[in-house]
Amino acid sequence: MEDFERLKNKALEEISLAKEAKQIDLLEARFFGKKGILRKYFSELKNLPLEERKRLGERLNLIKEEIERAISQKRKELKRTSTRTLLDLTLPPKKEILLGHLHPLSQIFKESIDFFLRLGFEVFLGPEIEDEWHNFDGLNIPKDHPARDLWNTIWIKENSTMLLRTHTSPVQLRAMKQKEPPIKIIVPGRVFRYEATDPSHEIQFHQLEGLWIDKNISLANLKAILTLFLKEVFGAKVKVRFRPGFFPFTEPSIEVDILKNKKWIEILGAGMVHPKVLKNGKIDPQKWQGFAFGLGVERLAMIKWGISDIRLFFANDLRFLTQF
Amino acid sequence: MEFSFKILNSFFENKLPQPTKLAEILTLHLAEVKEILKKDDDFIFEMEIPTNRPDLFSHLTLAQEIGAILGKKPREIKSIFSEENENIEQFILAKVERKRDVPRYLLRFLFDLKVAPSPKFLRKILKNFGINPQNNVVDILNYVMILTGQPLHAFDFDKIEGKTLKVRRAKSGEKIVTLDGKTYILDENILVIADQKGPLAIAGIKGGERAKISFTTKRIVVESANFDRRLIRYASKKLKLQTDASLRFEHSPSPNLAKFALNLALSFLQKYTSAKIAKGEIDLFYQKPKKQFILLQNDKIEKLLGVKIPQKTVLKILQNLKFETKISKDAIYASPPAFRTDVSLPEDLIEEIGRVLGYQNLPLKMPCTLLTLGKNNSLLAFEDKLKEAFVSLGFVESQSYSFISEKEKEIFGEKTNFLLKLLNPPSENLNFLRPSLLFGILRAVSFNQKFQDKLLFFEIGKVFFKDGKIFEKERASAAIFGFKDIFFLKSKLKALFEKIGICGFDIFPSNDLPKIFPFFERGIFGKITTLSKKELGFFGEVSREILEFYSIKHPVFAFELDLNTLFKLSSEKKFETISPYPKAFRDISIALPKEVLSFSLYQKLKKIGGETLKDIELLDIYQGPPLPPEKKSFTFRLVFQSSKKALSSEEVNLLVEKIKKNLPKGWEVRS
Repeated sequence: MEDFERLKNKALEEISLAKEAKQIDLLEARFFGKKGILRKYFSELKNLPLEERKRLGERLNLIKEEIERAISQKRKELKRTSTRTLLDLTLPPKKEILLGHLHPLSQIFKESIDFFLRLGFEVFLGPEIEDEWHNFDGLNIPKDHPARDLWNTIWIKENSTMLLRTHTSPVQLRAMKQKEPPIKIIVPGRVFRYEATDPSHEIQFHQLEGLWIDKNISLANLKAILTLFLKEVFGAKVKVRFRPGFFPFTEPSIEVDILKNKKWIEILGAGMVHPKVLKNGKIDPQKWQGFAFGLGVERLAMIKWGISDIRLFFANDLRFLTQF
Repeated sequence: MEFSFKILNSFFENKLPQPTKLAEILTLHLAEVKEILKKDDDFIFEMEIPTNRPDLFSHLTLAQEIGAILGKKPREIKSIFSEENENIEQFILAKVERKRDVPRYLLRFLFDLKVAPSPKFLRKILKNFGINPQNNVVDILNYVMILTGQPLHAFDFDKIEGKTLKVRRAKSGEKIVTLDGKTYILDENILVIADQKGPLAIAGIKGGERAKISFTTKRIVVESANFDRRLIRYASKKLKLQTDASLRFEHSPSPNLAKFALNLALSFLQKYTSAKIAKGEIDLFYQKPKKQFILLQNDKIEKLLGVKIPQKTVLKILQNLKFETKISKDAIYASPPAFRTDVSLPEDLIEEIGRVLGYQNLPLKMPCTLLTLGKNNSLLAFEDKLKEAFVSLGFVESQSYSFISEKEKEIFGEKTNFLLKLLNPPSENLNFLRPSLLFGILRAVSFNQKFQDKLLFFEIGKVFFKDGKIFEKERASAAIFGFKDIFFLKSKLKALFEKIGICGFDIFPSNDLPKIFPFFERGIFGKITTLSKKELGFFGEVSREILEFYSIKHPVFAFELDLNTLFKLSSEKKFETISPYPKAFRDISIALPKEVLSFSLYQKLKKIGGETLKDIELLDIYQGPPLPPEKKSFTFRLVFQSSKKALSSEEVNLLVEKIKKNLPKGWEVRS
């Protein structure tokens, strides 16, 4: 009996002192192997009387289980604490080439459109080849007026009254003629200008136009909606400035700036829809009023991401596109 | 337009705010000051003048605006001069050919004057505005223009032939030599001031050499006129000649301004040239602006600006801006000052009120209206879905110019009558509207091939062409570069279609290349078609010549799809129950005539196999002995599975037998 107790204590001590898996393997062999100590005791049991055999057998089994438990626990412990050569996981991975990228303009369009959809606006689209009336006359920009110089125009040769729209505002008229007020739309789209290109000028770019006509939509509403939008894009801390502007199709007209690097940067033009434009859109200006705004999408993206050259948007340079 | 801080300051008794502060105030209440330049002891403001405010080309008006914004009263300017007994008509007469061309023509006659260099202060002011000082007469007229915005002109009376100045349209081909010695050839839409001999000046744009003021000039005719803006704009564009005068006249200043400016000029001329002024003036005033009162309801202001403004405030603002006002119970009547041509509607008055108060200072209010449901455009929403599908398949989105160049047009050869040409291309590389998106994508491939050996691009946008009328169509295109197998692109296309809910399509080989992009390798081109034969687009390997044209080094496979057709065919995904029963596999080889498309073979197998034939996997295609040369052999793995039960071996064998028996003539099972 005492032998057993001593054996157990010795075994547990040796197990607890073991430093590596190999020692445990040796200990295990010493106790449980073919010529192991415990095996020896078990084989000796059969020579004892039945009563004794039963008692000692039980006892021996308990000791065996206890040692086995200690061994398996020690093994787990050693596994947990063992130090192995570490795989250098900082090795650079191979460049993933089959990784798709959405163009930054698509991303910013999506974000902006989502915002206005949440406010209950409807997306409305118009053609890129536009007629002179929708692009100019209908918007209160008469022929031979210097105001037209603000929109340098590319004309289509086949038809002298057709042009590439210089802004998304003609879609205002299309929507007014097609829908009954209240009208609450946004118009994303590509526009064109006859222009020499440089880092801030392109012959094509994109606009997001907004129009909300109802009984009482006011300039204070316009300010609230635009401020909310600019906070959505540039963060809640953005500083927004409203100042007078001039557009023939809005009255009053305003321009909106945001503060970036201590400088005010013009970000969009807006105003209350001019009564003449409402009339041209077959809407009674005595009953209805509302605001319109137009913002340059490239400009938004440039300020948001710090892009310094507008021409990058159409250069299709992977070094640019894969950053988004 | 440039403004002198010093001149502006001179109109006020108390000093104006510092230049940077004043610039900010103007930006917030009138128009943006783009820049402030320091010149000597002055600051020059570069200000953007709105095209509807020609009265703002004037320091006097600007001073008035500043006064209204700051609540300060600027000094009034008075013109004081004396007239002689001699009547102007003794010397000079004027005649206007078409009254519509000339709203006002106003002349004065001066004699006994001493032309000399201007005083120093005047020369300095002009220099600060970039105007070269000439002599006291010309310099004073320029100075008055800077102050008032009204261009003025003086003729040397003794160089005029005859007694009458005639304002008329030029004759076609008529010539004039201007002050700076340049010759211009005129036409019937250009106005001139002429005497018996011919043009003396291009009206409202530039004076002529013949009657120009010199240091020996003794008698002058001073003109202060108003010309039709359209004629000035036309002439200025046609002659490529923009002057300080043309810029102002193009914006159509008020004809009322002419007399005010002329009188101011007279008082300066008398003071600095000792001129005697003949009695009276010649004033042909054909288009007098009507004085009108605009009705402005009090509640209209609140409705438009979204904030209630006390009537007292409104009145004060309008009066400071020199509007004449009358009050009724719930409205104001306001008449704009003589030089304002832009105010005719209540909305125009509200703009005046809004900006003087400062839009920045108006409140923000969320609208109070009925809730509406946001609604995306269904085509745009589909486009977004398609873009996401492309990106998930490893494609990079390109966005190219909507144009192709003259050179790119040349690759079409003779047949280009469907291309839309631009009347005024913005550059020589942008002459035609793109008929296909693939031009842009190929440019992108060409540019990027040096960065990556494998490229996948897609683009979604509009293409343009004419066919009787002008077409503008939405397309989606893609191209891959650096891949050996065109079927890699087909597998991408298949995955794309699965993602947007188009099930069942194939690409049918064709020799009928698309007109808008006929640049595919012969034999490696096909039309993308639904199973019901609806055409969706085209697919193929871009031809060698085109790759050479774009200096692309490796094969490019590409497709273009019509977005609207695609959109109409796309559908919501349907869920199919996953069968719990095992699949059974049988391999089979079928030999058939070479020209038969695998599509037909698949169709046949599916038709005979029915629902239980779940899938057909192609294992091998073989040509050569022991097959006769006109045959090819396909080896398939047929996959059988039922959604209702586990298929027994006998049932599967029976199906295979059925397939074997029902194959068309000339097709045979080899094993």
